[in-house]
Amino acid sequence: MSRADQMYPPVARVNTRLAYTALAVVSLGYIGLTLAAPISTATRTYSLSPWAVHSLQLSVALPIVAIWFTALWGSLRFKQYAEKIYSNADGRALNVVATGLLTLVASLAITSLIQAANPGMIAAGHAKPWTLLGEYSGVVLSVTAFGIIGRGALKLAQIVKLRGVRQGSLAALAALAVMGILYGWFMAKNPYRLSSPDPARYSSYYLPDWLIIATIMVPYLVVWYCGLLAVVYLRCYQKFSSGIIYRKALSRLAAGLFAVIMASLLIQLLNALSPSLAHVGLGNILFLLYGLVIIYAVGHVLVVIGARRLSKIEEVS
Amino acid sequence: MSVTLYDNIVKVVEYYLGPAAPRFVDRQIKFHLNKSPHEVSTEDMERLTEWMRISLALLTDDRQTIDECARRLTQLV
Repeated sequence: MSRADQMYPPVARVNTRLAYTALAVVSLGYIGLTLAAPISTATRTYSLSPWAVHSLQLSVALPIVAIWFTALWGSLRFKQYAEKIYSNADGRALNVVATGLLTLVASLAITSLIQAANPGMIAAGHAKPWTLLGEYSGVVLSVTAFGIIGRGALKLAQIVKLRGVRQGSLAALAALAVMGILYGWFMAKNPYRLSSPDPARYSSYYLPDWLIIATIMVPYLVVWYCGLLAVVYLRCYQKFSSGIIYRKALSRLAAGLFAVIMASLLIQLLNALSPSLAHVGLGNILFLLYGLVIIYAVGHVLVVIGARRLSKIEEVS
Repeated sequence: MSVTLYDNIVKVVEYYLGPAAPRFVDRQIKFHLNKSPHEVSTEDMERLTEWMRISLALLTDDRQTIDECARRLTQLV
């Protein structure tokens, strides 16, 4: 038996058509909920017609949907490459990372869908359960996605005998400390953390402080640490794996994964901090958020380019 | 366990293609020599090296790297 022919249980292949159909359904739901949202008092202040309001809503919703599809395309291309080489250790590890990336795309779409239903739910008097659903679904999906990505990235780092991981882990811990301090500081300053004195504004969490810390802040810190460690592991694998030509092809994929993971983490941090950043101005927050979302999409394009280059190595005969 | 010619070929190619090397070498032997990977012999090396040179040229423009790999494969005989 050759070194490339070792037998492993067959990999469960992702149904590409089903994945695109599911995302199309979620996208339609997202656009529908966005357009159906009750028109706010602030919008009426600008004397906008309903058509103008809907055009504005679509100008935000459509690019977001386009980014979801770009992300799904990148993740599926990466998954297909990993499935192709599943019989080898690198293939199995990359397959786990690709599964995590797909989960991350699903998490982004599902949490956005829940958020899109927010205004309608608040108007219907379901602000509290819907806010809790939004918060906890975000936590659970993020823990799942980054847990899977971190596990796959660790497997990759183990292939290169964890070289360079110790120094990288220290840098990850330092970055986590900065993110944690920022998160804790702004969370403590959030005036709408527990309740809202203004009936027009809903509370951010509807939870006592100890529950916010135990069930939201701590899991997010774990998620961010997993994400930062995944970046470190991927970097070590890219730097220390053998093969001059292979490393060059891998560099795009690693850069893409770096961009996707870091943009996702920063988007989560920004989302978590947004209630406390009202003084910065909505325009500035949105500008930053869109910048991160564009980096996220570019990251997925780099993943596609990297996966294509690596696939070429597997196709040349 | 004794080291075979196949193992040595993979070891050389690993320097260029990393973990993709065993799969690459297997395909080259199967497609161009119509043999199973472990049946490769010293008599096949000249043909195999030429095919690998052609295949590597599809993956990189760096002539020096391709020539170096071909030279190291030739030295296995």
